[in-house]
Amino acid sequence: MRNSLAALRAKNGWSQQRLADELGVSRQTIISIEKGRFDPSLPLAFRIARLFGRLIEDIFVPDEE
Amino acid sequence: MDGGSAGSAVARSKWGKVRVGSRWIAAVPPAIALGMVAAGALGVVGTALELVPEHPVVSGIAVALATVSPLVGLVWVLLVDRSTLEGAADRPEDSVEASWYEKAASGAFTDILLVTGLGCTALAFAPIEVAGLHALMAVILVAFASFGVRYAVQRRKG
Repeated sequence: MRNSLAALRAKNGWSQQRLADELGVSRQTIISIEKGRFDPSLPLAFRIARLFGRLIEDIFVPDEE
Repeated sequence: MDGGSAGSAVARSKWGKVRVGSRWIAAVPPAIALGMVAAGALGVVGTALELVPEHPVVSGIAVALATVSPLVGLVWVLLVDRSTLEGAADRPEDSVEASWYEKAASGAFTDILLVTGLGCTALAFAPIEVAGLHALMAVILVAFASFGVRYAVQRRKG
């Protein structure tokens, strides 16, 4: 699954550690999500979307689309 | 006490804290004390069992010395509130490390079934007698090795 997490994070001027702290996960989790190697759980995806004031589908896009 | 949340009011520390009543204290001192008490109790049991009949007290002391470190560690793990540890994620279940753990554990389970199954089959035909203790130790070693390698692979993949 592709995502625009890195761009959204950069837009807010946040480091990976800052975003990880905001979401209550490890920094490695942010790294893995941004690289597209880890698909977050639905609760985590909702928290990410809420944090950036977006819809989940605005941030995460399935590969085939 | 693991699982409770200390919230943001309690300052985090390297070795964490434990809640005693309404107060939070460093987790290490009680872990050391309780671990030493548990190791002492095991030492008494070792002495009573006369593991080395010629030197029962020495064998009891050896048991206590050998178990004190892991017991202190175990008590610390049981006591410490993980939300008071520096760098601990508030929601570890959503972190990628939880995913690595689950994949490694499920893979290790399959490996254990495979190895024990093949081992039982081989021993059924081979003229070899294997002590139960050695067989169980082998199963544990396979489990540790499989989990460790699989977790390392997952971590490397990112």
